[in-house]
Amino acid sequence: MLKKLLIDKFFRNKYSKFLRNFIGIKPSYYNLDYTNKNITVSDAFFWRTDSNFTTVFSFTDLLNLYYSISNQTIELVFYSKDFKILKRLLVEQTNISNKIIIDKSFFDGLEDFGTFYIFHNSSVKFNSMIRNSCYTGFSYKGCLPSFVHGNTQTSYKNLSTNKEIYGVCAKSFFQKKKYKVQNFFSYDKTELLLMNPCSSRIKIKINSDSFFLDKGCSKIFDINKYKEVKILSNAYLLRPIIINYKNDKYIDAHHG
Amino acid sequence: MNFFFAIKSDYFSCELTIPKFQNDGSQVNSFVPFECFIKNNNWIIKKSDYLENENFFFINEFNINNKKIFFLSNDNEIKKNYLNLKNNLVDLNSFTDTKPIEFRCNLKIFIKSMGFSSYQSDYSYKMTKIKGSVLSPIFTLLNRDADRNFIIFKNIYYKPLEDKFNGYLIDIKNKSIVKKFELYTNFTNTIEIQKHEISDNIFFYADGFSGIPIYISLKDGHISMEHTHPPHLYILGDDKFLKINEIKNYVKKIIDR
Repeated sequence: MLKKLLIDKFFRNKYSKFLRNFIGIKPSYYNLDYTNKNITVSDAFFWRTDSNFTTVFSFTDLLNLYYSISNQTIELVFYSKDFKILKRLLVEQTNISNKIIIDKSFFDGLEDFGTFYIFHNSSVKFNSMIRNSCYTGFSYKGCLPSFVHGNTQTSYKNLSTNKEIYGVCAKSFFQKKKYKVQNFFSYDKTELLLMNPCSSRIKIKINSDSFFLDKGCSKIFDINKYKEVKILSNAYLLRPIIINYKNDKYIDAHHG
Repeated sequence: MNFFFAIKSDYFSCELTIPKFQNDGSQVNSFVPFECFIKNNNWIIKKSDYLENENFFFINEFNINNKKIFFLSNDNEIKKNYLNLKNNLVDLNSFTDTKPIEFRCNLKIFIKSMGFSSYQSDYSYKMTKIKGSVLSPIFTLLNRDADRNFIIFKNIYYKPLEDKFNGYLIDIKNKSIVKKFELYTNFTNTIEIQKHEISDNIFFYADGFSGIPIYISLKDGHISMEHTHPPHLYILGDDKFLKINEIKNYVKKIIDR
């Protein structure tokens, strides 16, 4: 029993996972050691204030809901599309469920896009690991936001050290990962919102177009000329957010 | 194996787009969409009516209802499992069991010439075996400013049962039942939520069967549709099931009072 636990612990630690992902045998997809405690993990979320967009962020206070820890704060960290830090927002009084509006006034008039992350701050130990996989709603021209859930663990904060680590999604060094989006695009316009969730630069090929994306950087890729989308990269999980447009009025945001 | 489902509603139309390929590009040419529904306490299985192009099957709004479920298979698999399939859903193949990214059948709801919204309509065979319960926050995805808000609760149970069970809106802070309603197994249930019921402490709770809660808001012809994650996705530590049981027991005590 003890032997099994030790072997299990060995294969789940971050060094073993890095090796498995590197050589592509039984990849774990995330360079995260799930045996660590007091860790708050965040998916990467897109914000948009460009092109008449406003973003609504909807999240649950997980420490309050599951661990009854209410005397804590939540921090949102906003990055530009080039992964330069733009803003830190400390939310001091949270409800169980919360919503935050991210418009251009939130960024002092900035009309652009990028990513953001959500972490808890707590001096109370909860001896586990939580994942903030929340929901972003994209409102186009002031209309009803179209919501999409987070889908890739990308960063974490260790509450003992207060250190934030980004780019925990694994990549393979030996093969191109093919991801064919399982939807048929017959809209006036379709955009893919992509971000690099890995710890270093990745090469991405979308159908016949290739480009590089550095760690944490994001890009909006127009796929108007394609009805179907095939993505090649060395990231194990490169799932885009997809926004479809109709009549330059109606949008549908969903994950790939 | 995954099942796919659709939503029949008076407020919007719905269609399914089923890929013929897995998300790594692999394809099995013999698979086509089948549908099943319950009649006289048996599962009835038949080939669906569909349109297709090279890479996708399309099931339109006239071929869906809230009782039908869909899956990819072929005549050989159906023939081989025919007797068993009358009384049980069967895990016929692994084509739609893809990891790390789950197979996506695109469920699109739309209002003609107006808004539209998509959702990944997959319901795993494993989930059809689960009774249990579902707890999900409603404030996260519903919208007080919308014209109408709905919770769609899809249950697929492997036995051909159309059983009634209870759903609730629970105020977990004030420990009270806000609303109680009936849900049915093997059905796409629709619950309209009033604006005053959308509050940060209110949770949807399904008592007795598992399922997927999907949240829909409509405003001025625009639509938003998304599901909440199951609670076990939020806790990555070894205590995940302990914590989920704690909160579900807490909610169960509220409804049992």
